[in-house]
Amino acid sequence: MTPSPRTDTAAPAPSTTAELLELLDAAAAQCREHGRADLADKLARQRRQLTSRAWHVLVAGEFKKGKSALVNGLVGVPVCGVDPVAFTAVPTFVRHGQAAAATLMPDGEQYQPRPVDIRQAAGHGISGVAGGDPTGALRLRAVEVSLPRRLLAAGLVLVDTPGLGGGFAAAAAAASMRALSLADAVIVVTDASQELTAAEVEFVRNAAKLCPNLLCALTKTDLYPQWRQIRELDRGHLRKAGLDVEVVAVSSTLRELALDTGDHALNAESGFPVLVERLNGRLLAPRDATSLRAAVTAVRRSLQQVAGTLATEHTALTKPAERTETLRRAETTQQRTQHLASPSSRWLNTISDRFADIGSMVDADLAERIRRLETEASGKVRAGDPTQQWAQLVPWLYRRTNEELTDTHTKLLDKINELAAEVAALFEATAGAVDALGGSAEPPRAGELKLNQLGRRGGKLEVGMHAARGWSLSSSVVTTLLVTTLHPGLLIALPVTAALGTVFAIKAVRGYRTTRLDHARNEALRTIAGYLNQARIDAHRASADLIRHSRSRIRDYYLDQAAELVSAARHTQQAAVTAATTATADEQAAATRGAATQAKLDRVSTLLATADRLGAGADGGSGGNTAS
Amino acid sequence: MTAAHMPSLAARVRSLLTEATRSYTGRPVQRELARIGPHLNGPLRVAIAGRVKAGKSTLLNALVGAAVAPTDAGECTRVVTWYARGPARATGFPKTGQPHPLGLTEHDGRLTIELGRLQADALDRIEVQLPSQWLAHMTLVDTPGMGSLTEAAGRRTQDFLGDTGSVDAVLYLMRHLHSSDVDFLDTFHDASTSNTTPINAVGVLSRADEIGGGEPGALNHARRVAAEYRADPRIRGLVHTVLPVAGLLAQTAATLTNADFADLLALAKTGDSATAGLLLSAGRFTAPSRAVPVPPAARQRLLAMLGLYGVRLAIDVIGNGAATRDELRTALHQHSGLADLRRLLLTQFAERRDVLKAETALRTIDIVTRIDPIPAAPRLRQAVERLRAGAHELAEIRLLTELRTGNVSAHPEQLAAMERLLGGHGTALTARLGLAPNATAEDTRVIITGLHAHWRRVAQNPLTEPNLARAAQVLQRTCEGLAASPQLRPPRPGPR
Repeated sequence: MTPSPRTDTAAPAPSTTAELLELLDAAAAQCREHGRADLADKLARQRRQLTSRAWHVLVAGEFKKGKSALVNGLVGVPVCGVDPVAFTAVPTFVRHGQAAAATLMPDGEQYQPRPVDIRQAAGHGISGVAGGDPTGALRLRAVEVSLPRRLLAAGLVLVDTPGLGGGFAAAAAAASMRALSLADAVIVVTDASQELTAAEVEFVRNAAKLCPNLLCALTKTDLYPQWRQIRELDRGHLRKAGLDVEVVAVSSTLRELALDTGDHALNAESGFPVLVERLNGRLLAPRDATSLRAAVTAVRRSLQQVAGTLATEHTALTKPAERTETLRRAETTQQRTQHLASPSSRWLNTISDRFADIGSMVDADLAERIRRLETEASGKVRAGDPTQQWAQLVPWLYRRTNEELTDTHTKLLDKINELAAEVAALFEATAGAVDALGGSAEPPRAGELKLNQLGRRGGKLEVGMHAARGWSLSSSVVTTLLVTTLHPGLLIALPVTAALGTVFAIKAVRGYRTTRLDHARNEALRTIAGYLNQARIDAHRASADLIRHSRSRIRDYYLDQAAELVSAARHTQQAAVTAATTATADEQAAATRGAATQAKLDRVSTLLATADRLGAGADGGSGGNTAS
Repeated sequence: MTAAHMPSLAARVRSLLTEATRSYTGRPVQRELARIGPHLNGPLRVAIAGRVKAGKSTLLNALVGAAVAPTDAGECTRVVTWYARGPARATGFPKTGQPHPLGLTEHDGRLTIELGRLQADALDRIEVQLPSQWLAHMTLVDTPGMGSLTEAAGRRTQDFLGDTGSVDAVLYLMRHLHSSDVDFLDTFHDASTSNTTPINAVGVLSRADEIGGGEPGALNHARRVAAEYRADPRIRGLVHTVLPVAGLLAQTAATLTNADFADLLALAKTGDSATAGLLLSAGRFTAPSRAVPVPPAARQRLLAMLGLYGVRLAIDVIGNGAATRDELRTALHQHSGLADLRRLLLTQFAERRDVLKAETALRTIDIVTRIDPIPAAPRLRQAVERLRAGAHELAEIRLLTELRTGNVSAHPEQLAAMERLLGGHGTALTARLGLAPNATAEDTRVIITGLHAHWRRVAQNPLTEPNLARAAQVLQRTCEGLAASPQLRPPRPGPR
């Protein structure tokens, strides 16, 4: 059994981050100095992202395990609904904000988000309705909360979920898996009242495949004296399942008390300091490593463009023999970048075509699987007696449906990743041919390596990690997708009651009368068909959302890159022309300017070397962990 | 033939069973029939089922009044274990080979069954005898939890419960779950595949003290949750009712020693400031502390027996004036919900012993005739039908099930009244009529007459829907039976 790899990416050292910030500032200044305000702006954005790029942490686990209390404990304010009897109905997103605020997201396109007093957010999380609405209770999709908390300032977004757990036999498993594929990190919550059940272990195993950046929280240690024993048992179960997952023991009750009384000993006992450390450390590490790589890549690309312009200028000034050639090349380059940025460029069309292909493929795949499932289920119903077997049929059907849907979703993620890699290669090949990247600081071999490094992490969409390609879904898109995925309506249950009503009427008299078999069979088939249809519709909608968002994000990202290259080529050409003119007119001035340009080029090269160093440091720290 | 001369239901079932067993001589299924015989006159057999760590063994200990079934933190019960009344003794029944006597050792108030060299996996079952008062009413069966990570153990329970005739009634234990939770569905999956009906199955919301994280209102919350479950149509069709029980409190109410009480008393007498800190968490309660007169080991024992909720409750109760061990035990028992469960089990199961036994036997005969249709099979099935039709008690429980599974269309209040009259809340006369125990015979007769007339009208009305009409006939007959009951007979005139 291949162990699921824990994310070994070490967070960059704080000194590295500080250096990188300096580098970004210096690089931005250089860009501005050389007339590339567009690059300077991009680097400023990267600088902001470096320290506060949004990072979604999903708090998952079965009902009544203490998820909402855990989130409340982390932020120190009861923003998630906690009730002894009722269950959390809708997800709550907790992120950083300058002031404490809460917004309700109603279900339905026509409704606007409505702000509420943050003290009432918890109640809405439990009830799932807006309430107080004169036209009747308005169902909610999600609750959004912002708090000024240091924990959240680094970009952390905590997502409290309605019960997400159970194995694939749970009704909502497919939705859970989709949510997990969007998350950047997952905390699976279990409590100390008993050891992990088979269903919980299955959930952790599936979660780890989709989001290896995972840990387990063992809650309610204040109430259960044998929590240490339970933790050992849990560790054993996880190990036996081939999972390398840490189990952190906490008590939300003690944490709440500690925060109220300011008692440090109590706070330590609550276990929350360890959890916070993990959040800021191990769970955040991949995000930081990703941000670092993204920043380094951005610096490299920007400086290479500037260097390219300077190099061309230098050649034009100091090498009269090559002047004509230089000018001609600059002219050609400009033309090619124009083509790259045009609507008829190959890479742009590839994106449209291929995404359309992916969409059709997913539809066909879904339809085929559902059709097969229906045949399988009908076979079972016709072969047996649904009144006797209904209670086994339901979990079987859930399980099979969820397996098929998750499989389709994983395939979709793979296809999107493949496409993104293909587009990146195509674009970079074109851009390389255009020679706009200039200089020799980016050997093609390193580019290839990065694409290979992306590897297969079980189809997880590389939204946060390994953004060597540079693009990723923005945080607001991820939030939107998560909200749709965790929609309470997706906890669709096979309409068991209706069928069971018939079934049990028959079961009760089973021993006394002959069964109305045909009637029961028809009822069962009807129910199954209805369920499968609903499942297919939900899955289709989820895929369509993901495709739509990915397509527009990839397209925009590369359009921006193309625009940069156009600008670079234009600057280069202008510089070349000016330099040539100067040189032809005045050899002496040309030589002086040539030396000055060389000096500028040297400064840029130094910065590039720093970028290389910092980049190599990051790669070295994470190298070798993606081979699995 | 007057009622006095008609052989009892049990006798009639026994003779039919004998005939069936004789008909199937030499055939493999005869074994199934032969198995029932010895149990017909025996005590009622009640299995305790549920997921792993639902609290089955703890509940069993509470009912029996002794800590005998093992209840560690990890998964415990591995073998189906029978608890019957008798002098203290334990026997292991390996899957192959002779029964093997097992050691029953007592240590610190807890009885332990020593397997010796035997492996749990090699055992088919264990039989334990104890001199317990409760076991006089029914034999209890502790089962391995379902959903077990050691799947084999859970499957054995499933097989065991699915086996007709293995037990007469089942207690389904469940913790606080969401209706979409896999465990919730699975618990009732087990209920629906095993041979239980709302007559011989009861749901228990276990570990009630843990609801809401063990806060003081936990038992109230538990009652709310149980009420929600009761109202769920899926559950209504599967079990008679759902009651909340805090098993740990109940178990300790039965097994609390004087030493334990002395420790609790000492803790309660210690100042508030010292105990307040202790009661914050399980960890703190057992931490070494100079301010507390009770050593950590003793505190650990108390915590293991009562749980943190129980400890807080006990100290509270003592603080409010309970001065003796018995007073505390009563309070714990009261608080745990076990009293209600005992009462329910007595009315629902014990009082119906004959009927439930008869039902199991008849069902087994029916199934056997279907599995192995020898020439005599149709005749036997007809005999079963005749018996069922002729035994009013069986008709009553069949109708009770139908009322629950929505087969009879009537107003919910009317359904509730019908259920009560059929003995759904107790077979005693006053329970059926919903009267106070001291109602006069005259009043009772008037009420019965009124009900009888009502149901006769419903049965004879051509506009009544067929299922309701059939039900009305059964109820009419019930009233006739009640009217003839001994307590209503006018006093025999004395000799002149």
